[in-house]
Amino acid sequence: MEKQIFRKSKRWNSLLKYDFVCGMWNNRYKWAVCFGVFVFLADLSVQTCNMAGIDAGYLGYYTYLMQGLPEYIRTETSIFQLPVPWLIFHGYLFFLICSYPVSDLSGCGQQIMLLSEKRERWWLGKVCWCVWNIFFYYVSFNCIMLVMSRFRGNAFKNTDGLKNVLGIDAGLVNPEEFIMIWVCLPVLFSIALGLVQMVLGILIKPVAAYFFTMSYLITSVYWKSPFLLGNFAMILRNRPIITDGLSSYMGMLLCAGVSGAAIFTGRLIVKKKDILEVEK
Amino acid sequence: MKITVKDLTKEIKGVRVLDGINLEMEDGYIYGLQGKNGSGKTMFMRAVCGFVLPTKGSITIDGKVLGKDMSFPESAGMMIENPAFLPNLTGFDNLKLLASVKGIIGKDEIEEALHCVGLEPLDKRKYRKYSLGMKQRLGIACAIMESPKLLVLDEPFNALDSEGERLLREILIKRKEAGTLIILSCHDKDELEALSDQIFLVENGVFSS
Repeated sequence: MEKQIFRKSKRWNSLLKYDFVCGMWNNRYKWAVCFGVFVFLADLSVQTCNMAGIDAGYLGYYTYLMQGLPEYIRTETSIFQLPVPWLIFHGYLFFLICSYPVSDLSGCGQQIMLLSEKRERWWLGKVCWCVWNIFFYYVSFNCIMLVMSRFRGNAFKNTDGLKNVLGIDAGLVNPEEFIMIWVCLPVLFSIALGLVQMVLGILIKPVAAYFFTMSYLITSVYWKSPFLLGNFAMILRNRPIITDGLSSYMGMLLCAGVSGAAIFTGRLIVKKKDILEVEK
Repeated sequence: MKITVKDLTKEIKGVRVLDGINLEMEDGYIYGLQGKNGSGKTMFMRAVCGFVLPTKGSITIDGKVLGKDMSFPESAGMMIENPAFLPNLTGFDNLKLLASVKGIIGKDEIEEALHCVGLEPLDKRKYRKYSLGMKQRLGIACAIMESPKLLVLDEPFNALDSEGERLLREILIKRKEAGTLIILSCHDKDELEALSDQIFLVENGVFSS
């Protein structure tokens, strides 16, 4: 029994190691460009805040990027705008993770599937790959933002920065809500939509899946609705930042639910899919 | 190992690529598949390996139905169409990474498999620097390294020089004697006839012996 458990955990480690090595190699150019994108976004946040006379630290700059936009209310004079830095941040992440699972299916992944003896194991390996890529994306961005704010702005001003960027009293947000809205929700949203994109990529094509993801992001900006999960990734759409904002607890549940549904659906699809040569 | 194929039919986008195949295969034999391009040889090999699920019929391996009781044959090595490996690793490192999934073989078996196909385990060249023949040899090494009970090789003689062909013949004969069930396709009719115990002629997805 112990030997079996040891072998199973060793197999999992091997599958995860394979996806780490293969995924990084497949995405090496995308990651190289990614760090350039991070520097651009971090610098944009810092420069925009400085030029607007906003006294902000690392947290303020991060908030500026992740705030999104207030709800779009249609009037005679209103113009629908897109939160471009926010879109670039999320859009590039989904671009980074859109094609690897499908390209693996037509390459080395077939051997991995055969050797792992179950199609579901290949799929779960991809799920883990997607999740750790997303974590690594957020951690890398925050490291670059920290470095940029240290050298070009003020590194560690917290509550004043929040007030100056969002125009709210930081005391309105308790630590639990802060962690949910600033940290958990954007990551959970990325995981949920990333997994959905992976499923769609396997079902149709990665390019089509990416178009769906971007359309979903833009639609989330246009409509404030709990069914458009992108709303939860915008700080300005959540309670208590705005009084009629969305509930961050509901956001966590919905993101977790969508993630679970995507993992389950992906498992079913991979189990029944014909794996042929040209899948790109 | 015994493979029983019953009324195997596969349709893809309305086209019948495998049509009512009935056959049995046993270990210790080499089964050759001969047919034109697009006749269904590769599709059949994919079906036997579990990559393609039948529209109708079944493939049973040692009493277990593929696609129902198991996703893939329990002990199988395959090289179907172009072998794919990680371009930034050496041949040895590629095999080591793949072997770590099951964890049943070690460094010695990997080196032996590489020697069998005429590749040098200590060769520091990355896979992306390999010639076509070397890539083919590595694919064969990958298929045989865990001494599988089922070996499925699609056009393994492609891109091999005369030395490579000789080594491959040796491998096939040795594995057959060791009790492996081997399914092989080849465009060279003479080669196939020399190696195979039974040849199936494949035309428009229909098998005849």
